[in-house]
Amino acid sequence: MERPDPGTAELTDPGWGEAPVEAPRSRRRRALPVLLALVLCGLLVGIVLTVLDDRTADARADERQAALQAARQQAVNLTTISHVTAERDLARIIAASTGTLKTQFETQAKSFPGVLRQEKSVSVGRVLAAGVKSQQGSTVDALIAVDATVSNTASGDTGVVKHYRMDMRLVKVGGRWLVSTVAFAGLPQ
Amino acid sequence: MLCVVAAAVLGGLLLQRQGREATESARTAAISAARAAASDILGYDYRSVEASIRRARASTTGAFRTEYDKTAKTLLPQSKQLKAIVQATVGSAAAIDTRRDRVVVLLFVDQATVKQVPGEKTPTTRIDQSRVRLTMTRVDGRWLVSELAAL
Repeated sequence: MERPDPGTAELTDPGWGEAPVEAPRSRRRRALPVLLALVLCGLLVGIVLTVLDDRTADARADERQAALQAARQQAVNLTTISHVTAERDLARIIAASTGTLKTQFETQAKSFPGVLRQEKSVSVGRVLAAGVKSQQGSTVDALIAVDATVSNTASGDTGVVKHYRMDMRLVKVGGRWLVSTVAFAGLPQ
Repeated sequence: MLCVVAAAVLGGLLLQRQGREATESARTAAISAARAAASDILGYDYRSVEASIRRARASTTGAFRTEYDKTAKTLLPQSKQLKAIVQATVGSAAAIDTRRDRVVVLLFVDQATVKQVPGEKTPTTRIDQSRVRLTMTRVDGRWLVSELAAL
């Protein structure tokens, strides 16, 4: 870094003919690292912003998957109910619910098992397909196609397969995705 | 040197983000194409069945196009014989799986059918509430049906 100051050089050595040319070049030489440092800073800021943004997008995609998983599970819960384990089956639905759906099942929790036992009803559901309809913050709407094999005193042992179309709203409550409403798009066929 | 590295990293990240945004817009575009295609493929009117088939065929690609052509061959005479009118109304739609050039869509479709079975006095009507899974593939910028399954 022992570069002679061009100003001084000019004074002490008047015979240094290149000095007037050297002076701006040297200034340019000093300007270059500053410029590069600025560019680097700019790039680093850009990287940080992009990474933060990506993490938000990643988190959104993760939430989407988590909500969909909860929707699938609740679709199975809603269609997998046996007169033998009615109380437990209903408790499982209530545990995965919030809002309207929770209230609905809580009010039915007392009378429902009796009805199921009377009909000796057994239903076993399985999800055929599930997808996210919309996602907005901590609210996700999901569609689920579910088939359930239902047998009761009316159907006999063989059972009938019912086809369901569910339109669910899920909300994130205390870190968990819970189902707040289930609309059955049309009657089961 | 550091600048070059930083620029490369930023460039890479931006490229990755572009990919993500492309996936997001693929989802929206594919779903809206799927709604229109499902309505075209699953609905027809015997009085204009040729046009229906042409329109439906235009929304298909690959193996499903071949499959659709086979279906259309029987659909054409049968729809006229039965004087069938099928209206397919697409309700809710959701994305099952999204890639940049391939999106699997779940649709809830109501099919209302009116037909006149020969020999019967009154026309028969029925409503089918179905669940349809469509695989949409991007071909030259257009989203086409490469697979259709009634679940």
